[in-house]
Amino acid sequence: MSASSERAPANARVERAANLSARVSLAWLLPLGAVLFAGWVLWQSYIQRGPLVEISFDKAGGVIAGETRVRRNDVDVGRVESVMLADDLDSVVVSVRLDPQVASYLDDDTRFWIVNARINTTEISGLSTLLSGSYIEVDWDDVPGERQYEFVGLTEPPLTTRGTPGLRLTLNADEAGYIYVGSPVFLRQIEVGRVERRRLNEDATQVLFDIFIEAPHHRNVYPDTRFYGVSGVEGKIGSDGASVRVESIAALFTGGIAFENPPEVTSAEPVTVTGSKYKLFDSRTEARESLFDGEDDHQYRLIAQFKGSVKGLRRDAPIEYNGIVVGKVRSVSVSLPQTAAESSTATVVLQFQPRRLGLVDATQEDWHATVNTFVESGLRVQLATGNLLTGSLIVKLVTKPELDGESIDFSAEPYPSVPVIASNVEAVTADVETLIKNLSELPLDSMVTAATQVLEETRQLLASPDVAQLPAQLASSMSSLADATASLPAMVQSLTQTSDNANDVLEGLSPDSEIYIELSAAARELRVAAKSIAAFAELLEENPNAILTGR
Amino acid sequence: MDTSEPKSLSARQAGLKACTICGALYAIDHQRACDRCGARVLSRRRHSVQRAWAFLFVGILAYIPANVFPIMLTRSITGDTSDTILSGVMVLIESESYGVALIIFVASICIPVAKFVIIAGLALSLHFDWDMSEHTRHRLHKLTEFIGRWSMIDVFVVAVLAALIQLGAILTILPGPGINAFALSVVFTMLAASALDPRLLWDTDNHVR
Repeated sequence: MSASSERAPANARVERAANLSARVSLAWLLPLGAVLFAGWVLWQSYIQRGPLVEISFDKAGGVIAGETRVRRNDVDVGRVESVMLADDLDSVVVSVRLDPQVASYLDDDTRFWIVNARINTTEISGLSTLLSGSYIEVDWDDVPGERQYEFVGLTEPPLTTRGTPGLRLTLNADEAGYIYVGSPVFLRQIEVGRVERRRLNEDATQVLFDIFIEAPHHRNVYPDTRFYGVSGVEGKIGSDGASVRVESIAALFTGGIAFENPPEVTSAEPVTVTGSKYKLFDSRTEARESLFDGEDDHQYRLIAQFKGSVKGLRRDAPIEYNGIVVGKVRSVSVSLPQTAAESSTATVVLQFQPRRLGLVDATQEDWHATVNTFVESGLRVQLATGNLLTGSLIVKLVTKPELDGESIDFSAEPYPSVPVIASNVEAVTADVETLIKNLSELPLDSMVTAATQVLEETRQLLASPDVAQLPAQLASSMSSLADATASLPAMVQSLTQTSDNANDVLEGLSPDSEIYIELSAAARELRVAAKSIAAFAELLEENPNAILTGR
Repeated sequence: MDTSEPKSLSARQAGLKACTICGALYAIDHQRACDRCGARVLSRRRHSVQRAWAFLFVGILAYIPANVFPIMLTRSITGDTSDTILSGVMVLIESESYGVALIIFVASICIPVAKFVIIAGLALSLHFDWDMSEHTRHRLHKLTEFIGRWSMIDVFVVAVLAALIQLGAILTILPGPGINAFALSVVFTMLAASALDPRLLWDTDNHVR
């Protein structure tokens, strides 16, 4: 260029070289602006970029890098950036770029799961993903927490999202029964929640159910609330007839859990602690009869030591006081006697339920003091027959005021020992034994002698002269009877006469008497009436329509 | 510094300048607008090469997002898909539509890149006085102006598809952000080509001879 400008001083190159402002075109502002704009866009997208989180899944079914969305309540909140195997090759790590506005909620409450089409016995869901492909659902509560960037994805979708108001509880049961994840929870046969999870506890001795109860029904859960399984039909045959109860038709197929409150505890505060533990009973009946609260409370345990056999007394046998169940037998054990001559002693551990006795929140000292007072005024423990057919025994608390003075033996192990009295069973046995003994002592020989004597006296009586005169007396009675019969014809005659008199009275109705005249008039009218009827009958015969049309 | 007589005489060398609109000739010191058509009459456009560079630079800059961002969003019941230029070409090749793939590839990759290279080459050749025949320069310049419009084929394809295929939830095609950048890129390369005053091409040529 320099060469050409030297060559032609008059041409355009000289004009361009005049000064700096003339040398630089304004068009350069355009690329400068473009660069600035691009830089601004890049900067914006960089600072507004959401957090990148890594979620590990067992399997990444249908998750595609760059395409699969992350959703919350069906709204996109992020996108999968990459899908790769974890270092141990056992799981899949999905990197997700989330929207910046959700970043503050990424705490340890955040849960991710892959939504696929699911069809099984308890649910049909996610069918839309058959066409649109699966997506990752995210759920978190509305409380921002400590930021976290690595998560473990759930294998199963949770049934309720974190934000749903309600209460989560844990129930424990001996067996899982027919209760599955997703089974409904009922309150008065209204569905108020679901089973979210079902698992074994750590040592596999119990099944734990995590359930969720929706608001506002979770306010009906009290510390004394009883939960029971409703696996279809509950039948009962009792003295008042048979009854069948079905909690819900759906529960027939999927099983379910119901809960109810005992009537006496409605004043207590509702439970608000997430994860509170409850026992799950097998049936409503069992739940109602249960003594679950403080079932394993050692401080309310006492022992009773019975001499002799306790055959028929089993664990969980009820303890009754005036017909009310106030506890149950925890265990029955036997200790051998010192010598074979003595009878063995059975130690029965009694689990009491002080609430049933009106003692609310009693401490161990209160409890012992109360029982001791009762025992000193005659309370005793006794075995009684619970069921005559099976021979099972129950424990009864009886009051024998005449037996006062004794007290609880607090030195006994493992729990304080309550004094006992001989059981009814033992008493009955003793009575029968007495009866048999008395029978065997009866004076049978003298009885036979006496009977023989009675027979002899009878024979002598028959042989006496008085007995022989009896036929003659009978004959005289018969002749008096014949006399009476002879007077009958006279009676008949007098009756005939009476009849004649009656005839005379009837004949006395003369033609002049008033009655006669009236009767005659009545007879005439009857005749006229009869004629009319005859005429009417004739008319009807000739013209039956007359009855409808008239003459 | 060859001072031999040039083969042809330019208007400038003859002390004249022409109106580029109507062709009217004026003396080189004519200061007014064209008496015949009212256009500005310049012997050589000022900053022609600089402007060409500036526009070219914007065109190249816009070409980057045009390729990075999707140019077309397809929304159907089976989900959303988005295609960039290259991924669209790959899809077409996979579906064995080689002809269409070739057209798209040529129109949206080959032609823009060729234009960048040609315009940059012309501008450089002017700057450094490369030894190049006036015909070669002129042909290249004509070529860029001719092929420039064909780059818009991509924009038209997307515009037509987006206008025609609007079946609601079943299938909907939407233009993506990439196509805007692509259109900008095409526009600015065309501006760059036109900013280059063709009369400069033979100025240097004349000088070299």
